Amino acid sequence: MFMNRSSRFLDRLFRTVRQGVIVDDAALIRLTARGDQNALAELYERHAPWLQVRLRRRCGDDDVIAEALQETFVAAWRGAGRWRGDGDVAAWLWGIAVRRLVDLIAKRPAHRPLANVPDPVVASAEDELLLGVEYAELSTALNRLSPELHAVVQATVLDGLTTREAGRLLHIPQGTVKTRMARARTLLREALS
Amino acid sequence: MTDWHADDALLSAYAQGRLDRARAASVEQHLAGCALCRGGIASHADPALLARAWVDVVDVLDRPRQSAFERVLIALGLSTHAARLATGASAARRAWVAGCMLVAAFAIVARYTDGRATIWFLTVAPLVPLTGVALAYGPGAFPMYDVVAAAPYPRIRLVLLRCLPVLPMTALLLVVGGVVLPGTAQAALWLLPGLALAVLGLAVERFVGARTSIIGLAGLWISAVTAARVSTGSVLSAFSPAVQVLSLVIVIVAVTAAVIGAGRTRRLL
Repeated sequence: MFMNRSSRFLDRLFRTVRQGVIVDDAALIRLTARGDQNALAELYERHAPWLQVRLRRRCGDDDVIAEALQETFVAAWRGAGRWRGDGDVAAWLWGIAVRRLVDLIAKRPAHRPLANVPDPVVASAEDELLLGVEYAELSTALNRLSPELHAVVQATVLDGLTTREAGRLLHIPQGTVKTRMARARTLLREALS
Repeated sequence: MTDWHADDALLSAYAQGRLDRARAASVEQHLAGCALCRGGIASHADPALLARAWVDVVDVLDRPRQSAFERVLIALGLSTHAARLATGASAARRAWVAGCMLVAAFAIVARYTDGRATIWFLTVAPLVPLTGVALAYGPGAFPMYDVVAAAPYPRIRLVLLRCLPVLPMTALLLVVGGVVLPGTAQAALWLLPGLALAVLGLAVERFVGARTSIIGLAGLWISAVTAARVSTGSVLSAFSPAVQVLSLVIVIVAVTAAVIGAGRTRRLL
């Protein structure tokens, strides 16, 4: 990919000049659907880096992340034709990527999904100030949740997974996801009241 | 949309896992909706990992999709690379299928023009799998010829793998022949000699080349049939039980060798 970077840069420059605009993500998806590999390469260059960083916060294994990224863009290549064009491409790609990660982690029974992910640092007083008064209590409560409860909140609320997918990601039964989520919700509500 | 953007220090702290949960979650929510900050975080990604994943993506895109027949073989328990080897000659196989159809048509036409169609059919039919298999996988027709020739793969197993695509066609031909010719048993006679010839052809091909092996074996077969006709007065003696048993032995030896070869390969791996 990086070996022919200059040629691809010229290619992109040519395309930009020809069309007079920088192609947006939706147009790239449409080009990808028509079998344009350059469009997929452009999508990869735009989205793979942040997807990789975000995935790494959920999985410490680089091999799993690389596989999830690969499967995500292969799925995007094959599924571009089915993209309805009414959503955000970044959110669509993240939706695929996090589900690929769930599948890969579920396939490895001994794998601990959060191993090697650095422990969250307790926010300093300055950080608390920066966050603003409005959500300060919520942030504090979120930071104080036990790792088990936070993992469930992250999977369901922040990553948009279903209860079932969250259960597969964390290797716990669906019922446990629900009870932990209920408990987390109670704790967060208490913090706000 | 907000006009606020995460500065590099914040993005760097996020990428390295130095943010607390609440701030990490805020950054993630912002990234999901902000192309500029998504671009800004690129410098904190791992370029080696990204390059590796992209090579894998291109690898999958460039890989030919599995054909229906290949998927059937894999479902039957063949490994993916073995299935690819067996079906690698798709273009040549189409030509060969057309050839088989012609032979079947020839059998049907001959039936209505000459009562001795059975003899012709039985003489020609065993040569069809041989010619088809050898031609389909020969240099020139088979795109993977050089790759396969250089691969350390059990030869006899390869021979059998190559006969696999032939079998459904052979079975079809057998049914057509059986319906057209009087007595299904007679039409079935050519099946074993045909398979044995194909296996022999592929085994010999390695030493003398595809063309020589086909012509040689075809010549041998036709002289055997002719000799049978001259000596016993009936071409059917070329399909006598002795010939059938010999053919069966050849096929069984090949299958056994292939199975042993497969076990040996697995041990090596």
